[in-house]
Amino acid sequence: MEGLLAGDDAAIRALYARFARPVYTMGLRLLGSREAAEELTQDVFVTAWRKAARFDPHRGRLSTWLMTIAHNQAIDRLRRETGVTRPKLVLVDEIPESPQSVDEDLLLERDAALRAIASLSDAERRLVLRTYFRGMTAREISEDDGIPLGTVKTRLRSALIKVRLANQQKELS
Amino acid sequence: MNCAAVRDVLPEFALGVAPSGDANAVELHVETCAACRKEAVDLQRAASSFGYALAGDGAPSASLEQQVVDAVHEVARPVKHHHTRGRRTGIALLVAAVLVASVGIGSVFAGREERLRLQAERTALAQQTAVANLAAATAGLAGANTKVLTGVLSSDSGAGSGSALTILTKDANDQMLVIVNDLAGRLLPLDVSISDTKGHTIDVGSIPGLDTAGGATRAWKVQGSLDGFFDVTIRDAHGKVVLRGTLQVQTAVSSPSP
Repeated sequence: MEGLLAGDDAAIRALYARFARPVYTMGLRLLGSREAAEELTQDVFVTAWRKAARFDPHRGRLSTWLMTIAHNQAIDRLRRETGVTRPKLVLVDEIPESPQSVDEDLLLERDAALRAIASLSDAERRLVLRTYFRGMTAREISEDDGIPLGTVKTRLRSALIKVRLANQQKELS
Repeated sequence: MNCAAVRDVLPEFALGVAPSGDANAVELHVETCAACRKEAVDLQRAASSFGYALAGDGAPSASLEQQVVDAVHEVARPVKHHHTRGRRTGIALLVAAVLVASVGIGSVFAGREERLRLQAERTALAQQTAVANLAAATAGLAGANTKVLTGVLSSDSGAGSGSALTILTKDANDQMLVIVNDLAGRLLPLDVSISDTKGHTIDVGSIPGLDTAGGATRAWKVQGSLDGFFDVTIRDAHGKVVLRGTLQVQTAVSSPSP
């Protein structure tokens, strides 16, 4: 991060090598085009540079910090667009099983994420994906599905806690 | 917002879909509440699993890496290419830029445009912190041959904020740095000028673009002296004032940051 702060070429490239692909693929799925995903990726790294001094490794992992920046920026863009341009709902089972030429660390992260998500029921998975990939709020889901807002919030919390526990178990093993 | 209310919002916050007012309140709360902060970080990490689940599904073009490197350099460029003494000043400017650009945003909770629309009380705190951080970052520069002035920039309409800094040298090799936030939607480029009390104005430079959060950091080496120039104005392409502020000579350094 110090290298990033200094605008050091090697540091930027190292960070890019580690995180560009997950940021890009998230952007691709949320925003629906390569151009938008690449714009997002560029903005995320510039934002990371601007906010690097505030990153505290004791408060969270670098990957979570960067992915949170990326996701929030993608959701912001998604919300600015009309409903017409929103991408279709992305389901986990649409994810290709054999990604091409991906580095090993990324594959490990991806496999861990998939295992964690597998701990959810279908209903929980769909609920979380509607928020994470479509930017739907709990209230919007509540209105769409005709279920109480409190119930949606409780289910979201329950789903995230399951994923969190799966992540923790993986770290302990 | 108390802990119970924050916990109620945290799942949506972690998933990036909390209403902006709630998200701002959560960010304020977790700055001082370790328990809720831990919960928020854990849930955000869980949420990021959904992003990682897609990793490998497509790859950016080969040219993107260089574009990213260039984009980061573009932000940093004005302060990177100075020789010896100028370089020292440039590094300080860079540090100051990072400090101020990141003021007021939660350590882990960064990025959302809505969240950058700070509530008035938060903006005030951020601006105080910005000045303190600028002062701290440049404390070593203010010496016999150098004078540093800092100040906050604000908008009459309440939207947007920023900070500015000038470094005055005896050889009139002066520099100015400006950081703006939350100016998305303004007609670009933004023109930066600085005036003295006699009505003389120097057109320092322009800000050609903003990032997605409406922010930008620019620094210029001014051909001439900025001594006596205190009033900073930033106008949009229509000439409308979007931010203004007055610089003051840096004195004592204090940090209101938590």
